[in-house]
Amino acid sequence: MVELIIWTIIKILFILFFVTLPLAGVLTVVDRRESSMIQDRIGPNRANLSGDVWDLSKRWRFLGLLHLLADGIKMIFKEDYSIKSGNRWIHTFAPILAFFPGLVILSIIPFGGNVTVFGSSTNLQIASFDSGMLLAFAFSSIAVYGITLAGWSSNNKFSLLGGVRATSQMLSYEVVLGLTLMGIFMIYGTLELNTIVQGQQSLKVDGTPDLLFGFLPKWGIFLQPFAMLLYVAAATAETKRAPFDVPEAESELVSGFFTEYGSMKMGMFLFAEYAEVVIFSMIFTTLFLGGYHVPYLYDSGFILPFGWGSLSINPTLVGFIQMLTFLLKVIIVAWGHLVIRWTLPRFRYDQVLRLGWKMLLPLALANIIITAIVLSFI
Amino acid sequence: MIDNISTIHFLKEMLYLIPLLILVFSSMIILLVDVFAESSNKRYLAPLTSLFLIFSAISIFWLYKYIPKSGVKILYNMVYVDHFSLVISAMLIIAAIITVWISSDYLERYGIAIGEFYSLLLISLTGMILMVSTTNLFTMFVALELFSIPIYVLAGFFRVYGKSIESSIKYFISGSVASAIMLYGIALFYGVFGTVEFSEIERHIFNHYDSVAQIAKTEPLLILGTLLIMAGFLFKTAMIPFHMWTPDIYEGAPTTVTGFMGFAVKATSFAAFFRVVVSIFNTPSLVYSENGTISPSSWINVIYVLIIITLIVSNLIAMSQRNVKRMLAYSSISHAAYLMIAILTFSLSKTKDSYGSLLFYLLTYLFASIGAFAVLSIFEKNGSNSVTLENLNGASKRSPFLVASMLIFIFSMAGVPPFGGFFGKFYLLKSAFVDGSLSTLVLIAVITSVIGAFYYLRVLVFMFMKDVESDENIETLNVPFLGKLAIALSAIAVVYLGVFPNSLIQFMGETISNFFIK
Amino acid sequence: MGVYIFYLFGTGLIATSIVAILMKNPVHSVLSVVSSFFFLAGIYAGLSMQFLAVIQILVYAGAIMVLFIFIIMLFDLQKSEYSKDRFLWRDLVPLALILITAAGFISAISRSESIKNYVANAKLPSNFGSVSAVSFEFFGTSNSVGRFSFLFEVISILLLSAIVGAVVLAKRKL
Repeated sequence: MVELIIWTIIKILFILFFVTLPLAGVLTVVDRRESSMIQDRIGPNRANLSGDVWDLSKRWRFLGLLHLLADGIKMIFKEDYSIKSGNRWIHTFAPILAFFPGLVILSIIPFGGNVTVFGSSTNLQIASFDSGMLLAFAFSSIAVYGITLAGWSSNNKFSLLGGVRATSQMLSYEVVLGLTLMGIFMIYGTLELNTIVQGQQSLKVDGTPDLLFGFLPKWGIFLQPFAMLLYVAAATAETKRAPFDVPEAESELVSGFFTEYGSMKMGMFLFAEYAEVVIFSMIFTTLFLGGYHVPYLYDSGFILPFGWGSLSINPTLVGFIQMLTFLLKVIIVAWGHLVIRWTLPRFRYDQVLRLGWKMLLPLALANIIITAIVLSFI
Repeated sequence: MIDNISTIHFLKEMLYLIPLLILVFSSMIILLVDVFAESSNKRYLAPLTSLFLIFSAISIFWLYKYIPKSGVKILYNMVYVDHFSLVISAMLIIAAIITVWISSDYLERYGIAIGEFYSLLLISLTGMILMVSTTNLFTMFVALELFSIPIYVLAGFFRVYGKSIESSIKYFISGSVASAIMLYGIALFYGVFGTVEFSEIERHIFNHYDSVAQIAKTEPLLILGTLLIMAGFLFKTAMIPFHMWTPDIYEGAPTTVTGFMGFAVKATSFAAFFRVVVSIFNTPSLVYSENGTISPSSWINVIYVLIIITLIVSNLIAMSQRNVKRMLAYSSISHAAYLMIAILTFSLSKTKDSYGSLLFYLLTYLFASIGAFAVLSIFEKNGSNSVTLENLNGASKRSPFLVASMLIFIFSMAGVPPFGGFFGKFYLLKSAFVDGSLSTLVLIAVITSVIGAFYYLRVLVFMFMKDVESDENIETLNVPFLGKLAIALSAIAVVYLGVFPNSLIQFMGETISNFFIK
Repeated sequence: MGVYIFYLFGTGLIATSIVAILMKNPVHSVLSVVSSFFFLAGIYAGLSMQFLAVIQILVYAGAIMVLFIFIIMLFDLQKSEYSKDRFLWRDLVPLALILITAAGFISAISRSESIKNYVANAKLPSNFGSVSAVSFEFFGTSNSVGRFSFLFEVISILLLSAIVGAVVLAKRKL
């Protein structure tokens, strides 16, 4: 019991303070840098640590990453402006509601295989929860409250419009999001994420790798490529990022639902957005990219396809390799997310909803039906 | 516990639900047809719907011959099809057919002739049939919701009239509260017995408890559950003091819907309540105290008092109504009291005489009430969605056919001898009287039905004796073909029930006596 | 342990429900109802019904109450439009009735023998409340049919009728 509690605390601290929050923070800067590269600008690179003030070449800029620190300091020390009219309590409470529910999802994500440290072994997943993905859906739908209430409590037309747009958009895409993943759940027969990950790269009963066509691992992306595309679209809309960022469309609504926010409250909204990106990347990795699996690497070591041989590795080492693999995959997916943001133009609001209800939803349903038919014949 | 049933077996058992399946599929077909049909072709929706309903009725006749008298329990005991349920289903389908025939022209006059009306009507009918063919509290609750929700929508179908929307919302809110109360009762039953199947509950009560006093001491939840379930049914059957929704909703809803609702909701609720009474509430230890007399804290006494209140209050209030729809609403409340007398008689006397009276009364009420609302729906002025007594002035000159049929329906409801309603009341009160304990109730019922005759006959006074003041309204009414057919058939049925009641009463009695085949 | 979970969440449930009734601002009421759903989910989880707990949050807190907030937002109520109900002495009558009913229920539950038996002999299957157990009840296995599959289908028709009804009542032009 004590061992379990200690492990759980370690895992929570690790995934929260060493993975999600730093990654989300870095993404805020990376996003700006990447936009500048895509648009052929220089981008933020002025913040520097020390060096000769007069000699530009001697400043330590760390690729502009220091802007993260600068922005953080700025936001924390800015005046905490609170609105005169509107609902002050809810106004303060809304950013918290927008930020924290998403973090609950971290508890069910398996970020590595089984590791053994000092003779005590554990699965690198905070909670193996039978209703797994449902919990993720549940808490991502709770995050809607923060945005809705922010829009409502600000007593500002732009905020209200942004809030209304965000609510209807997120509610609509939650439905699509749930339905796109149904095929995955049907194939792996479970909602529990670790079981899904293991189902994506498992060994047959006789100890040989269970591969598709003899060489492809049974990752979600290969079994459900169509669902993968739908999921990316729906998840982008769910995180309200471009091309679906109508709730905060700066050319129409100033800043949407957080127009009336300043200082760290606004920082929380921005941060929540990137935290959501990280979390969605984690779920995407888990469901479609084989989670923490390296192709052909099993608990005992590499087993190559076509009988090309095998290589045994220490199981604990495998555990750590898998953890690093997971992080690498998450970073790549998150980067892909940013590329989407800066390369596609924004939809109109009605187009967003029409896309959700009239195109993605029927396609997701069709995907479920086809998957069910195929599964019933296998 | 029942073993798992295989998919094939499940599908075979679904065959017993063929009337329901026809209704469900036809409701979806009509939704689809409505989407793709040209608006000029939408008047064919009503004949199409009635065709489906007739198919369903035929399948009921087929099933009636096919199933054994003791009924069949299917789908993990979720559904129980027997002769009783089939008879009630047939009545409900007849009500629906009449409603569809009248509605087609009525809806067109109001410019809302859309397929959703028929589709919702069919879904509601499905729920009603499911509710009377189950001996499982879960199914009963789901069926209750299944028939209620389309009815809530149908009540608000005139979206442009505030009263219609108001009635819809009132019905929805009060109906949901009543459902919730009933669900609480079901939950308590489930908590006590661990099952919601009537026969198992009955066995459990029979084996474990002797008298009401003992139940109150060791298992008071059972009494609470009984009261809560009963409250849900009393709401749906609109017994006073659970009646407050009735007049407003009857007035606001489209008149043809009111006619359907007035009969079908009532018949379904009474049939289901009858089943609950027969199977659960009638267990001796829920009724009697240790020395064999009716216990003072038994549910019987609650019903007894409510019947007296309902009879007196509803008839008195009905007298002061100028709006005919409201008046008929109060009249339907008083009819509920009569039906409740039939149930009470059944659970107290158990002589075979009393068996047929409930079903026969329902049958007479079916034709009289839907027929009356059908006539009103034609008299209704465009744009008002309500009929006052003054609207009926000089009706005998405008349409002799309608007035003659209205006369039949009104006489039947008032209980004037040659018509069906009289015999319904007569048999009901006779069997209640034969069993001595209810003679006070019978006396009150007779007196109040005489009071009731006053407001029924007043409708006729306005129809026959008062003339319109100005000349503008004299023009004769056009009665559409389907509506004429429906009204004429109802009137003939009412007369037939009054002239040849015996064979039908016997038939109804046999249907009920099938309950006791084990 | 389970008892303490129940008391903890039960107290919260009652408190938030009362707050939901007393609040004048509808948004505060809705938020209070949402938190009461969380407490309810906690009670479910304490009873090992983890699937039900998650569904409670997903459906009620996450979808239905969001729509409530959404609608209140669109009304854009001003402070002057909030409920002006004040406490009246005649409110004591329903309050007293509620308290009496509640007392009756509590005493009935505390005297109930079947509940005592149940508490003493309860034995839950190991997968009680899990997704697979619930889905077995509803859908059965690949060649048998679940106990509640029929009701499940019936409820799907119920929802269809609710959708049709909502469209009929709310669509601007039919």
